[in-house]
Amino acid sequence: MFQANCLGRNAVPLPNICNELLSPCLCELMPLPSPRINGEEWPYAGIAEQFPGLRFLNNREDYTENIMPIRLELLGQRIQESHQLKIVCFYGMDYLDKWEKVAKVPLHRAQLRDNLGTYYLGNRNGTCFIVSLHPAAIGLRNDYFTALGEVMQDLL
Amino acid sequence: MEQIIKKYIDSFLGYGNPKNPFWFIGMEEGAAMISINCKAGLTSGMTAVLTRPRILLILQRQSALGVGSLNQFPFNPVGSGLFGFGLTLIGGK
Repeated sequence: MFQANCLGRNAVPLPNICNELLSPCLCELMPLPSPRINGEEWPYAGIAEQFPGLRFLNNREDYTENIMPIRLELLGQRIQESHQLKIVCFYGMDYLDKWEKVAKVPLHRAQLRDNLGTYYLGNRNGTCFIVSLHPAAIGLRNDYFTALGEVMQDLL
Repeated sequence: MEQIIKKYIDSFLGYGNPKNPFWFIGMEEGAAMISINCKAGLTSGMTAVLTRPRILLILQRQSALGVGSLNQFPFNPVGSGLFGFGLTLIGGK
């Protein structure tokens, strides 16, 4: 119910269930959506041809090389400025090095209860950083996120 | 149009409330390539990069480009201030 009606929204259809303040911030490191991170389909090559200032959109490699450093800095800066921020949860352990650059602190491997899986954890200036498995990871069970939620609750 | 896309790339962060104590950060938003039929003023034959919360990020038709959003997706954009309006083509021809 919350995910369908409230998550990431500012116009709340069910005010008795959620309100704007309850919606967490949902961010992406890279700004442009695309069908697959590792796939060959890249939707923006046509734009690169049309606009000289957007030549870095010619392929994913150029886009990543040009934009990722800017985005790492932008996200890190916004987190640093968000003094109310308690927990930042990053999705995907394959990007651990990127998340450490955003968090500006080393993230250490930890184990969930009942051997449900691992995650990474760090803390800087009162903000906890967690790296979880990506929700789309093959074989991942709901129990993993239930246990991770318990970890977050203990951190508050 | 170029400036709109550059501003979006430089400033768009995501959705929701940045003042919330919880942030969730992914690598990249998934999308699908779709064809747009004539709907609410958009020209038939355009192609869009479709994402779930914000539809019609980029519209292409030969050399025409645009950026737009649909008003039935009331997600709260964070960072760019470019989106969050009704079905409006804000760039392109």
